[in-house]
Amino acid sequence: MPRDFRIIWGGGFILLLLLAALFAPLLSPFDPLEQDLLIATAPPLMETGHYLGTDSLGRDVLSRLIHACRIALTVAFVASILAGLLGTLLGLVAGYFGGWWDTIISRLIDIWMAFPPVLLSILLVAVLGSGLHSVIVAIVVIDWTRFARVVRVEAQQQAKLEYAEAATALGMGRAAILFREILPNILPVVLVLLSLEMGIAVIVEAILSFVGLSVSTDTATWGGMIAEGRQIIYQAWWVLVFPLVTLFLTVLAFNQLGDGLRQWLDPMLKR
Amino acid sequence: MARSNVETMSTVIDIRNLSARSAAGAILRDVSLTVNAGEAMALVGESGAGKSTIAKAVLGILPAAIRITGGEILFDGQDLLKLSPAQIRELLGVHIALIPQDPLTSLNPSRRIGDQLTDGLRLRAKLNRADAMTKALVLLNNVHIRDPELVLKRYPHELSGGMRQRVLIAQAFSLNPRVIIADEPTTALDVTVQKQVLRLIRQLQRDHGTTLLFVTHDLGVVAQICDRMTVLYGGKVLEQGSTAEILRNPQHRYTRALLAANPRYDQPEQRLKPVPDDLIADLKREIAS
Repeated sequence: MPRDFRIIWGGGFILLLLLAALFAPLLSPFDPLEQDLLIATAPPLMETGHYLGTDSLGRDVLSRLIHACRIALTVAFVASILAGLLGTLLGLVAGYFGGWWDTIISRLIDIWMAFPPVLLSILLVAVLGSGLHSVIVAIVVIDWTRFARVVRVEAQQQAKLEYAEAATALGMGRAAILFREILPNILPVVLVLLSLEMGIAVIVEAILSFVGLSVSTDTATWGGMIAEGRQIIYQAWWVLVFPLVTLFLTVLAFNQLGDGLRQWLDPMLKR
Repeated sequence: MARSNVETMSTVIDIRNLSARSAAGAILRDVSLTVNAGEAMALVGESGAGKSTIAKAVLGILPAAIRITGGEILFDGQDLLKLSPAQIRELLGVHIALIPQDPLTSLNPSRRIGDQLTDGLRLRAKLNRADAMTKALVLLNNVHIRDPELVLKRYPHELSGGMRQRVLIAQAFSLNPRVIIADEPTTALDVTVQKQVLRLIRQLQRDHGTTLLFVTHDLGVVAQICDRMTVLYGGKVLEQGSTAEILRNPQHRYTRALLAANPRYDQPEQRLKPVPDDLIADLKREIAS
């Protein structure tokens, strides 16, 4: 079991978010969409039951925060895993087969990385139309290079090691060596990248919902809440601060989990 | 080495006029050698003599930088150099197997011993997992590993160097190939373990009637386990014949110098005698022409 503090708190925080997302209707004290203009911008108070206050339309901030976990985590997991699959596959092929495969995939990565990612994602979503699917597609299309780059180099290095040669001498085919021998040695790296990528995906989703390009505006998202809160920052700071802090902690948790995993899974540091 | 009467003397590997080059120059120059069924043949030479290149050429795993420029490698009369990669893959493991040089890096660090040892049995002999594991126990027993059930579940880093080399030997013998190529299999081991491993290879080779191509720079090792030897320098065959004959009565002066260079533990006061520089210069000139 990992005793690393970063894995425990990072993983613990993400687990908490997952539970919040799963049981959002049970956990949130109010309907996240229910408006009550009589109590608009009510400050956080225990007596009212609005523990984190209400926004400019009188909606409960805590309930919206909890419901927004669903969007954030769906994007984080689905987009990262898809980007990870695509990037790892291309990286493995480029690194192990080399030659033309490597030339084509490497150039592709170079070209991809020359685009500013935020601009590209806004452009993509604008073209694809807003919505959850578009956000996920945009992240996968942009961020597969993060995996491909690292996996390619790892695969190159692993392929040079003698165990790969020994497997060849045993008459194992190239695909069998790639997936049975090399992939297991690269998996820890992919896992670390996956965790870091989830943090990035959460930010990208927040940016896109901040500019109103994510899901429709009546669904609660952290980025959307931040955008709303920004306009009434002087009247009701809580509308901005709480989603901001949640976003910050979530990204920090993913990053710390990634760093902890990196150290825990590294066979050289393990012993 | 009174084994020659047992041998059927049929040739298993027949290398004819093999030449190879890299960007840096010639690696093999017109190498010809034969290995007979059931015998242990040593390829002896210093670093860069081309002994590993020959071994890798037979296995078809030469690095891309080295190109075969001529000759043939006949295995059972079939030229390995003319086979497609897929056809070579059919032979590897089943008919020709490798005992690699470095037991520390030749096992996959992230897979259990049992899984790696049964790769050949499952992928090539098409055994199911349970049967393969049962066979693996027998294999580990044959290489004198204690508690084979436990070892199957271990990862390579949990075993000692000698144990790992035994596992690799078991893997090489797992499909009972006709030829095993051992690429300096004891270089990474300390001397006592080295002796046990050599004895083990020799015993298994005899029990299975395997033909052994043994790459080494260590004449002591050659004397212990090889019936015949080929001395190489700069990619050229200098001398070939029965080990006993060559060690007793070396014909080539390089072989003589090599033998003289072997340190003797019974004469510790004697200085080491390296192969003389002028002999090396002569050899280089001779080879270049």
